[in-house]
Amino acid sequence: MAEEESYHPAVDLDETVHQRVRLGVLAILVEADRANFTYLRDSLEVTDGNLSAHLNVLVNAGLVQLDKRFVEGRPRTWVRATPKGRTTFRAEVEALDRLVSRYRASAKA
Amino acid sequence: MQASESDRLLGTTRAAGRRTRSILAANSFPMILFGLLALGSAAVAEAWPGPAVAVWWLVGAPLASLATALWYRSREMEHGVAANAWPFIATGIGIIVGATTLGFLGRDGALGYAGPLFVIGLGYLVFAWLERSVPAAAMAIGVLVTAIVLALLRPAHAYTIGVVVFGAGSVLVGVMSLVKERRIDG
Repeated sequence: MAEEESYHPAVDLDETVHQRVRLGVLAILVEADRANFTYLRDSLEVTDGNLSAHLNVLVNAGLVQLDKRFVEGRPRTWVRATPKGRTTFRAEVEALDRLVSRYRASAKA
Repeated sequence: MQASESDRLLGTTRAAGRRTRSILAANSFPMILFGLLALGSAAVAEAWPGPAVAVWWLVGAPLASLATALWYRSREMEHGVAANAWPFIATGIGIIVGATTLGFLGRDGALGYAGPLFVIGLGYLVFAWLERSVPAAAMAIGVLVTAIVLALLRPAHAYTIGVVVFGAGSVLVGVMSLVKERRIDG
């Protein structure tokens, strides 16, 4: 009982993905099989450099993988979520849900 | 503070996922194309009873499938986002093989028209589930019910009735999707 009371859902948050752009990238890639750099940049309203930095973090954590190809002579970077990325995303959304539910319950009380 | 920030984060995350899902749920082209193919087959069946309708489908279905694959490919290039094609390809092959087999095995009875229609309804139910499309699911259930009713009542022109229900339903769902796609594509 005491253990249950001392538990706070914030401990389940993942520091790598608890960030608007990185979580947004995973949200898109969980729905789609793959998305290209331009789609991610425009959907998340970030600059090229900003998105590149966040993708590097996700790649280094093994949550996404990049696939660089030439299409009609131009380089295109496609991004896919790894199985670990999908699992991490779902766990993060569940943790956020628990945190928000707890906040709302305490605000009502 | 952390909870309200989390609330905002959840909101923006879900919005990004929803927008992507809407783009990927586009199905106007295949719905309208296969709907028109079905309506065309009804006309062929009425004008030239016999094997002409089988030829219609054996030529038309693969061509329409190829056109559909090219349409999805062009959308992928245009939007920069794509779904996993394999579940759709497997379902499409399942429909073509299942409908052809049942149509051939039951060519002299109710199985010959109700069987393929039932397989098409099941296949479209899978498509609806993959795309999370309520109109496509409703249309698929309508096709399944029609197949069962036709098998039980065995009316005259049963094949024509079945494909007209399927074709009209498919065109209607396709037009609804087209309106939605135009709104999303801006």
